[in-house]
Amino acid sequence: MTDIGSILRKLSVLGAERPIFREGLRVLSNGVYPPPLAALLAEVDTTILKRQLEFQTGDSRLVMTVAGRRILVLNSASPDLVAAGAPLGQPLSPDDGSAFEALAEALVALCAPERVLTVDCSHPDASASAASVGISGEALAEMLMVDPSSSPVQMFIEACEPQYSACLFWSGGAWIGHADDQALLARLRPIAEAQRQRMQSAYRSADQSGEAPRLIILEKALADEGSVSAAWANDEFAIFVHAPEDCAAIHAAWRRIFTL
Amino acid sequence: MPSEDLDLLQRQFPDCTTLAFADIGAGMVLVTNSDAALEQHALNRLCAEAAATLAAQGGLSPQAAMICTADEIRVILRADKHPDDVLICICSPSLDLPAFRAAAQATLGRLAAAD
Repeated sequence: MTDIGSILRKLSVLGAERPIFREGLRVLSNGVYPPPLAALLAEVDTTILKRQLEFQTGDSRLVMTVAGRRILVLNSASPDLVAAGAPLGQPLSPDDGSAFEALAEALVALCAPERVLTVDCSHPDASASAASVGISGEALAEMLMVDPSSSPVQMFIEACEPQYSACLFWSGGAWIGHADDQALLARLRPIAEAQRQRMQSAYRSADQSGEAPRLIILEKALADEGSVSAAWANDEFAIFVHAPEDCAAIHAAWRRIFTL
Repeated sequence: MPSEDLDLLQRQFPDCTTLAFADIGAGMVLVTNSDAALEQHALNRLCAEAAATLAAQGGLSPQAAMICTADEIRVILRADKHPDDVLICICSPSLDLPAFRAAAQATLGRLAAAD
């Protein structure tokens, strides 16, 4: 049966706007969003033709041959990725449980949180891993319980939880509210709907896809001088009320998650 | 007409490329920094967008706004004593927002007092 979610995720990755490069290496994750391990597995999952992918976080690096959305062989690894040592140079297969686990362990070690993940893509040696069945990105994601559909807006509002007093999150066509003060939440509802429509119009007039992240901070926007911030990304929207002095912390949280 | 105050602020914060002091009541940009590379129609649109962002509507009446995208931060500040006088700032994402926010508000205060 066709997995529509999986197809949509692949299309989303393939259609991602403007890749970011640092020192010639393409940035896959800023260490926060997308989560580095999910970003690495997504890269494997969108590699069809045979390529050598060199993933790097800090001084750690893992070089592999990938084709048909599968890791065929590990070519080399930095010394700190001890687990990668055993399967190095061996054809990989999901039937080889120990190699599967060693590969997974090496990927987890490489993708430590808070470290920028980059990739360098090149043509592999012609002889590389012709006989390998390979291990798919999806199989690794399942084993490592990586959620490929995690929401950056949800991650953002979780990061801002210490700051906000009421929050509404629009996802999947419904509002999810969170506040200790229910009167404030009720007051936020019509504001949220108006701001969501306003942001949609802004995207349309700028001819931008709804995927592009945007944050609007409206300082002292409420009569009691509370501030309101609204964030949009991946066609999801969140709006929350906070104190004016928290604007800098909210902007810093947004940058950590949404800037590569 | 370029403003020395705006040029000074821009030199302090090179991440800020365009600074425009505007009267949103009149819908007019009054002065920009010397390096602002925007033509008149672009300045007019900037002013109109700032007025729309700060306009009281739907239960909100913001005193200032920050609009952040992957490419830029747009800061729109309203003068404390002259609510139609605003400073519109287009900056790169690497801007030190808290430091800039304080300096820009002080600059706006001086421009509005002299207006």
